[in-house]
Amino acid sequence: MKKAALIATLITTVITLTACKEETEAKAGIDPKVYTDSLFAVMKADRSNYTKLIIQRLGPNGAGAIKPDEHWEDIENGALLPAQMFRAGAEAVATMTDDFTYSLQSLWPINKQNAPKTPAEEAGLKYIAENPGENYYGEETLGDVTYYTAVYPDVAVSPACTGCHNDHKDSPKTDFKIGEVMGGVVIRVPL
Amino acid sequence: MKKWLWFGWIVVSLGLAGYYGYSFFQSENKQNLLIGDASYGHYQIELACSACHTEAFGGQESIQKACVGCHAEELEAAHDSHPKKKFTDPRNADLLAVLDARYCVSCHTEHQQEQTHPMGLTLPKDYCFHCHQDIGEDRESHKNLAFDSCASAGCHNYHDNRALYEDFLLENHQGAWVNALARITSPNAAAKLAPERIPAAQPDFPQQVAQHPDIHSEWSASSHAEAGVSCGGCHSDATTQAWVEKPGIEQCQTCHLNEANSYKAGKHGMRLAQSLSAISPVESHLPFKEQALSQHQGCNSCHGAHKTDTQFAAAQACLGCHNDQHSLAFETSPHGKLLSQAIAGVFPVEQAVTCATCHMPREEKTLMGHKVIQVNHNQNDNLRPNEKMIRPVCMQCHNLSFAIDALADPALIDNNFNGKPSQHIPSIDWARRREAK
Amino acid sequence: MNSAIQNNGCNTVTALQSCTKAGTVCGSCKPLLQQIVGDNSIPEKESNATTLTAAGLLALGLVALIGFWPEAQVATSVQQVNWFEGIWNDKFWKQVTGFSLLGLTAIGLLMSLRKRLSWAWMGKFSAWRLVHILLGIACCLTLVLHSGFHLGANLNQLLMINFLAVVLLGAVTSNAIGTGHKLSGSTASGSRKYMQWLHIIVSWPLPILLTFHILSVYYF
Repeated sequence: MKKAALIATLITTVITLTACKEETEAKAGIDPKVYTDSLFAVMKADRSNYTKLIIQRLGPNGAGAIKPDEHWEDIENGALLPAQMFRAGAEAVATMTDDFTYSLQSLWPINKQNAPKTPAEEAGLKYIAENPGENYYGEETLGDVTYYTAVYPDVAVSPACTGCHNDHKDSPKTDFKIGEVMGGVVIRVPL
Repeated sequence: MKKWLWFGWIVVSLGLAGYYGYSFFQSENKQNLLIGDASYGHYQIELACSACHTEAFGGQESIQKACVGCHAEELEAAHDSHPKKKFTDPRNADLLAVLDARYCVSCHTEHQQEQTHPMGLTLPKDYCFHCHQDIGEDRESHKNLAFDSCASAGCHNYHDNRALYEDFLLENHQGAWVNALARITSPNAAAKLAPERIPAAQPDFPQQVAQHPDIHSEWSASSHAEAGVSCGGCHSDATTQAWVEKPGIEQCQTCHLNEANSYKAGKHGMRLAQSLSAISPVESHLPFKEQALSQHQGCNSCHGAHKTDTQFAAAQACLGCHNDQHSLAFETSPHGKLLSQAIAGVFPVEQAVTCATCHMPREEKTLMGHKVIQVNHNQNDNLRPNEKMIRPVCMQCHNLSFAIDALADPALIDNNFNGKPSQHIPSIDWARRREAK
Repeated sequence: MNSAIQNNGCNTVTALQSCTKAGTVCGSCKPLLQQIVGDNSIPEKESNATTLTAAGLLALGLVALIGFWPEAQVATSVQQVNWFEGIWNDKFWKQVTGFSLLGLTAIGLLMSLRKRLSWAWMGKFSAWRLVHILLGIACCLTLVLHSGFHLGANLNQLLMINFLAVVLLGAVTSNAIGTGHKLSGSTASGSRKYMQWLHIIVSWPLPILLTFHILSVYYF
């Protein structure tokens, strides 16, 4: 009887301690939603600044000093398209940290590699397309790791965005309008 | 009796352990530990183990670092189509489970010569299948194409597609198969940069000068004399200032640093970069002329010691050693005939095509703050996959379509482009057809 | 031994064994004991004699197979890589098969402990001998998975040759034991002893070669 009581106490203690530990851990970190929302804010700010302050101002619609082009590496004064600039940022981040990853994807991608691949990406991109102004949050397991996956709408802000996508021979959708959701930014944080 | 046997066992074991322990931790020569011959790309330096195995028990990461240490720049320059950064996103976890494209050795395993295809590939040639098996759904033209033809038919490469991507094909689909002969710019890197590195003081060797009046007169007409490099400039040791009878790359690179660096990046000089003795044709798997077999590669193999004759260095020097079909066919090939005509004075030598025109091309670069034309002394830089040659070399005189066809025709390469390509690679046609839609 | 016969009246092989412990471990000196006590009957069959003979022959065959079977080639298409290549040519499975070999060898060596230290608690020696031989066969099979019939180069090749030689001599020894009862006493025990020692001596370099083989895999 004594033995049973002792064991019961021990088990309770262990469970309580473990639970406490989990609780404190959860309290110590930032809520993943706040984390991904903040990351997205930075990304969005940089992206629209690049589009407006560099491409619009110095490109063919402005000073004509730079040539935004898909094959920017191959032409003189070539500059990355805003979407490529965004991707270059994601790739550079990937060389610096594993704490989060992000990518630009679409249900109507020019490059098939940027179509949704995982169920969460698919669901997220559909959700933001059907619910303008809203974001998608979910969890998924890829490889052996569970991720917090957030999907944010990527909206057409200038005629350059819609024009290029509508005219591109590899684009599956050719009637994008300004203000429409063209794709989404997928941010992943390992949990 | 039994005691002696046990004693014998211990002696044998200690001896064996000592022998292998010495090889492992002390000896420079670790031949007895090699698990197999290295690939053609690395066999020259297979005994410089630490060139790739940079740290003991380093595992895959340290080997990857070594790969990147030597090859990162060229991959960057090649606008690598499959860089590591494209695969690190967790959404590619499923692809990495099939083929871990983050590591070079996943496709280029070393010391497995019996499994190694050209370009050091150790996967079956249809490896594209792993990730692109549904390409037929996207590209009507690609339906039912064999997956081992993606990277071998002249259409795609895994890393370098600078001359093969669709928009480039479209932009360059026009033009006659051969244009007017391009006038190749003269290199000026050595003339502009080397003088800056000439040591302030050069020792005098009056005795040697007096002994060799013939050499002295040959030298006085050379560009070395013109630049103020005297006998002592080359024939001396940098630290002791003592006379050096046969100067080597240590002396040459005092001034010609950029040339030496690119030379050491290629097959001719890669052993020197690892502080091994210079390569000798007899150690190579390529066919070489009998009399050249035991010679050692060095700057002087192509560049005369006292007479600077780049015309000799650009073709005759190569043909003095190389004895493969492609080299043997050079003199009677259209390119070779151009060279003989130029030497005969029919047109300027800048319009001739030599071995170096294609294999050691002249490149515009900014080095040490100067815009220069430099000869790339790494003959491997554009060699494989040979589509690397299309833009910097072939397209100087030929159109894209011809260049693609010619480089995809092994028989034509063997006879040194004596004739027309036997097959037409339809990549440009397919791209145009898709564009027209 | 003589005093045991004279003073304790141990005049049969069994009695001599119980009072002197002679020939109780591997039994290879039983024919000698027979000679001493003047027993002229045909030597007894070893326990599992038939299995030992069969296993020995099987091991011989496997050694010949590994030594002479053409090296496995890699597939020419990623769509046709078979299970065998997926094992011998895969970095993960190579380690699994490699350490299995090490483990099998180590278990097999327990027989030596039983013999040299006469630890009766370990069970019958003859059972350990059988296990030793069967593990030798298991090693051959694992070796096929580990190497894909490749004999390797330099250190690896030495290790391979050494390993195969050890198995080969073990197999011959096993045959000598299994068929010993058909030979005359002294020939049987002579050939068996000789083969056993050859088997042991040839295995001398094995631990060092194996250590450096494993070390080299992780060192480089």
